[in-house]
Amino acid sequence: MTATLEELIEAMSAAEDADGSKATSVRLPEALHRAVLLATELGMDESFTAATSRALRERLGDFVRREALAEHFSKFPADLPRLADVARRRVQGSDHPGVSRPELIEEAAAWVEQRRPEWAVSGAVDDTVDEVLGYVEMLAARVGRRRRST
Amino acid sequence: MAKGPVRHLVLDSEAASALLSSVPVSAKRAAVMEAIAAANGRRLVPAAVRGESGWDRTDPVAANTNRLIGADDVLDRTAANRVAQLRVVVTGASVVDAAVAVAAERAGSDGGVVEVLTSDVADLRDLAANIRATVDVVHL
Repeated sequence: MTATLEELIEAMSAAEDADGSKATSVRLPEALHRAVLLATELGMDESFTAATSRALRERLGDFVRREALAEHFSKFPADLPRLADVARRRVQGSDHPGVSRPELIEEAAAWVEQRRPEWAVSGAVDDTVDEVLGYVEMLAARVGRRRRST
Repeated sequence: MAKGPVRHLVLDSEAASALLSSVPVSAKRAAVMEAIAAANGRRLVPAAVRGESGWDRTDPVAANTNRLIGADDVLDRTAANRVAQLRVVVTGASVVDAAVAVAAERAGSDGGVVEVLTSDVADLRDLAANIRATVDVVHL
């Protein structure tokens, strides 16, 4: 029997509500184990277990989102948004430079969309939007553009 | 984990109904999908909205919608008090609209912008002005 996305969502939802824990054995690289212990001591999380659970929850949440978006856009291609529109909406109401320079979002999104035409149906929405917004920040700061001599 | 600006999303009943639609082409559902794609933070539907829009998570028809918005904002004791408080301040607001505002307040409690996607912009703007979160009310 193959696992379904519904079963995964249900299991994650149960994990939110449940108080109990289950001992499990995981082999971690020694250096990573030490790094988590140190980060816990420094206040990243209350315990090694809490740090591991939180990291797993975040990763599972990202995976479900990617799969759900990919499935939806494959099933309903008419719902596919423009990358520039998603990027513009992401920053709306924030202090990101793209808010006052929407033309930079258009420019960066057009370039990224050319390189990754499957960005939405592959589910890589957040990575692609982050990439666009990163380029917009660089363009707004004129990184890599030659300054005119005065 | 979100790298740039964090955007949360709370749906009202009209947005939830649009998302439940399974027709091949729907401009409203496409608008909700753009909002979902843009929201890299929390994505919530208030329990009251689910009730009003007929969103039963156990119904197989809702499977696609459940995948896209997996979290409910529960109308618990604290939320009910907050709904009552907001309805005193914004007298025309319905219980469902106030529940949307309370969900937005919770979603944005530790930062980021909360998009409230709604067909009732006027009431939601009034409510948003009275909550502790940065809210972007967007018309559906």
